[in-house]
Amino acid sequence: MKILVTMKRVTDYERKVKIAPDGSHLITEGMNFVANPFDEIAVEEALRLTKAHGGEVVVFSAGPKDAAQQIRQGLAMGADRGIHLLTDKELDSDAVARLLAKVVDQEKPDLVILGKQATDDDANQAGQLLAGYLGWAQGTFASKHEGLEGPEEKAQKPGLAIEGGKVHVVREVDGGLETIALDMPAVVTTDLRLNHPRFTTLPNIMKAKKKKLDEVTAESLGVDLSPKVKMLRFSEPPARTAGQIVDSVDTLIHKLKNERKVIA
Amino acid sequence: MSWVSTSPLQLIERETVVSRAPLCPEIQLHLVTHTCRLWRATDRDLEALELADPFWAFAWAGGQAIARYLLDHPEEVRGRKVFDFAAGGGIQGIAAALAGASCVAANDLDPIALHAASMNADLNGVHLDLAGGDLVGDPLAEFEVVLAGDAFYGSEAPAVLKWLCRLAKAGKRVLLADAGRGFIETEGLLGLAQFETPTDEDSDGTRLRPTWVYTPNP
Repeated sequence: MKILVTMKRVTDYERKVKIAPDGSHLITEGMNFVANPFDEIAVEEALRLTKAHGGEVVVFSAGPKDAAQQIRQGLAMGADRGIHLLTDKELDSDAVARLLAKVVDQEKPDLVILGKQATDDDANQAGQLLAGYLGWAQGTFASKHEGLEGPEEKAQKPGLAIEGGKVHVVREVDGGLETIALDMPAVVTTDLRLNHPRFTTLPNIMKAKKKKLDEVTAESLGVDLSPKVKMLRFSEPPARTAGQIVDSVDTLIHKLKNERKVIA
Repeated sequence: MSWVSTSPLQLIERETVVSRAPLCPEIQLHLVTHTCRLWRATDRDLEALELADPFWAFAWAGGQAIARYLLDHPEEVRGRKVFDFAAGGGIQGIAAALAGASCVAANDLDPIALHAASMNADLNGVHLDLAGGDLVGDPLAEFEVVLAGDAFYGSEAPAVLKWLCRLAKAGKRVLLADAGRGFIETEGLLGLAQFETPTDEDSDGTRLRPTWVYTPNP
């Protein structure tokens, strides 16, 4: 079985994002970049599936030269090889989906697993668009039967299972879980509770440096990267205003009623 | 604790534990295992330690496969002069010495690897001659058997294979291993043995990788 997974390079979610004073773009100088956590979950799930069924895991990322670091991280987790679409352009989800569709044409995977969204733009579109372009079945928000992951939990039925040529996906939906069976090949996107991605270790980091990482360009794939979505403006959430200390409940109710007008 | 090292010997003593590779429990090695702090080290940690990637600190799939093959087929090396190319911690060379080779030379570009190979040889009561430097292309006139356990990773792999095939044509017994990483064409090679080699790839260490021991076709 061949599984294609994505590993997007995103701004570090633990650091504050800076916005240019005119609100036109994010300031990326001095920013730390990490792998999209939902994509790490995708890589982990692909590794578990190929361990159970045999096969190959291929990591794809589209981004600047440095995005190779995130692919190498996927390789250090245990994936077999990488494909790096080199571009310095900002890509929207549609461009990513069209790029992935071309890579799928070439690689012919049985399964494409993507993070449900990236933690930088939270778009949550690439997986669904890809399934649309390919005409494949899709299982979005793959989750797990139960939340906590200990050794016993790992031994339980996983969120993704391949049986009789179909992939069974446990999906996180409003108010519970839903299990669906998809014909393969299929597109799956991962939710937070699907698994806990493994840590990388030194022997695997060293091994990852020697694994194959092919560089490709949008031109060679024949994909036009011009965005269909235009980013108009970035703005920070409004700053919190200072609080007031009131001397009695009556004053509080009076202020809420007459000044803030939040109660009648 | 500081990462800064003193001498290679002290570094190896400090950063490794004496352990055994799954395929070759007969052989003791100084290895970095999950109990060592280097196990979780990043590139940045290695930089702080001024340490090149410590390939000598792990028993890779190819080395384990060749060592297992030699321990099972000592006639391949008994009484013969053996050259261990890209020796790392020397697992293949030690196996050759245990199997009765008349002498074994371990060659590696990394000087620390040669220290590790020598210390590992001591652990197993055998002796390895040490040879530093890049010897790819050398006719290796004084040797009869050439081992290449983990030599085919990266762009230089095809050139190394060409050299090894030339040595085989010149009459040397060449044993090489490949874990199917795709850096060399194995079509012109004769498969001697296949092992399911445990790797360090997954968290529970149970992922096996099929690893072949080959010799170039005559």
